[in-house]
Amino acid sequence: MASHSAVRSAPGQEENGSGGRRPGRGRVALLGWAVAGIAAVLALVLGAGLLVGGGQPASSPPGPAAAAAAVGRAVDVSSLPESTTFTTVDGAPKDPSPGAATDGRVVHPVTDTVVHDAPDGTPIARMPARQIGDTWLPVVGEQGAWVQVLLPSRPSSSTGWLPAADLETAVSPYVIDVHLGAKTLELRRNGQRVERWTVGIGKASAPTPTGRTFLLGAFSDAKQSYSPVILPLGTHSPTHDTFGGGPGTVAIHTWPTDDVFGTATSDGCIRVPADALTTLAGVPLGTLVRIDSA
Amino acid sequence: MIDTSMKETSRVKTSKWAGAGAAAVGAATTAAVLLMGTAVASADEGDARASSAFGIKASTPLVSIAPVPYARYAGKPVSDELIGTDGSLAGAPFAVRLVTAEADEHSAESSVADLDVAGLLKAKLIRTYCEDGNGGLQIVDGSVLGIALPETPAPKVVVSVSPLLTLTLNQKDEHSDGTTTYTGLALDLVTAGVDPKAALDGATQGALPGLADVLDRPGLLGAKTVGDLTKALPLVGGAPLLSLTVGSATCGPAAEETPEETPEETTDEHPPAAVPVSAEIPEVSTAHPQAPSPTVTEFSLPVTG
Repeated sequence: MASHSAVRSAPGQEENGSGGRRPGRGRVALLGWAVAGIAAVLALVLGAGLLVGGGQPASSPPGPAAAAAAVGRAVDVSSLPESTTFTTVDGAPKDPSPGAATDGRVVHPVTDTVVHDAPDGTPIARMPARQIGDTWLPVVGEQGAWVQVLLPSRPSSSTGWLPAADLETAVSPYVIDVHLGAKTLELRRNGQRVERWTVGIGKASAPTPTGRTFLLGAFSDAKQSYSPVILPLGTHSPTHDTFGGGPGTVAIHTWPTDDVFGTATSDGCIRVPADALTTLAGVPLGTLVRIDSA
Repeated sequence: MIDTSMKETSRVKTSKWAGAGAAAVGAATTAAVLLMGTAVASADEGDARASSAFGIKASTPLVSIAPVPYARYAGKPVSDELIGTDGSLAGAPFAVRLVTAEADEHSAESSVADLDVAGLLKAKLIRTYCEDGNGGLQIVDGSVLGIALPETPAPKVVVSVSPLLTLTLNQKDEHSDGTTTYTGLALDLVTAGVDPKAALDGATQGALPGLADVLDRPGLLGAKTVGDLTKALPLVGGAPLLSLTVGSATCGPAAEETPEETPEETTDEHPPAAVPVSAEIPEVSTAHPQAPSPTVTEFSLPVTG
């Protein structure tokens, strides 16, 4: 065994040795090693044809041409947009089954991860582990080591594929169904209706978008005093590219007066009674929200 | 021999080592890394709480490498492996003989054999395993910069190589779904907090041309200081400049803590690959914990009112 002096335990753990490696000369050497390490990792990746989040093994040995093609596929991750309510992600697949239910699974990236357009496909975005609080996304598909999730970014009803290894999985037994025709919102638990409220929806010139989306978070904003809590969804106004300086995010919130419930008078948001807001604020993050015209 | 050094501490067998080693000898004549999916079914369906393992994962601000090879239990044991040899690119030698990942119902294991990163991080074997929620790490003849690594590190041993580099061994992370992840070796290079005016030495600068070429970052060529390096490789959200993981195994306890996993288990309800996991009548999975409710935070996001 070489010197133990560079091995120490984390706080609370038994020490394996004493002291640490001295900075200075060792640091420069380390940096050189670390730089080489980056290139070495890339060497593995490029040589193996496993690129930017690709985790599926190739079916045949990559020859020089394959390696060259692999190099060509390398993507500058830092150039990818984040997938948040503030951004647009080009090339994101559309929701394959708008209006369908799911098995309730929701996932949380335990680390910032790369969003792909297909399993082992092209990177299209970065998904931060936190945006408005922790990021939780509903699962709408899966293939091998990948899961397909609804995205919080524009365009509405877009999806992306995430490597399962980067995700914590949980479940929401709830589904929020919004019926624009009836101007009602239903909260379901395990498929059974728990509550039903009459709500306000977007007016004809700024309709509430239909399709599947999800509960993205909860926040308060002194500049939007009409509701003590706002529940943003992962969808956007189809008519407002921006609204009030924001990205046109559609949300669930309450309203100071009752006369808006049962009307189509908002600019896309779903206005709910105060008791509904209180209940809905306790629903798990990532809960599926289905908006239809019924 | 690696075979003789391994201990039967996990239910996941590693008997493939001998044959795979022979295969690797043949592969050693090639420069490219040869990947061989070992035929075992991919996890195209199954409980996301199930066991999983992977061999190597890495990311830089520029490139992210998803776990490879990766195996996740899918109602039957799943394994994958990567057979490689002395891949060399841009003057950065990297050698690995065999990387495996195996996942059974309540156990998982990954093994990385004959790892040699630029002659500086070396190990005959890095084996990360998990069984019924308990696991650990085994390192055979491992060293970083010539410093020997412990053979069976205690949980979360940190090897302090420099202020820039953190090497963590045998990290244990318990998840809310009842599973536990054992991460074998995690290396993070972070320049935050380091004097950006610190000069790079000749060896470091000598490595920059290759890196600049691989990453298509010509700005690296002129880097003289730590600040120059970070400027040419802009950090993303404070992420480490380099994050490398070797070995990960995740598993959960056996049946007594998962009595609900029966007919309504999502495994049997998921359609084949790439098909939406949907049904008109939702059958909510009972195999996972409930996701947290949102915490109301102060945030500025004008919505559509």
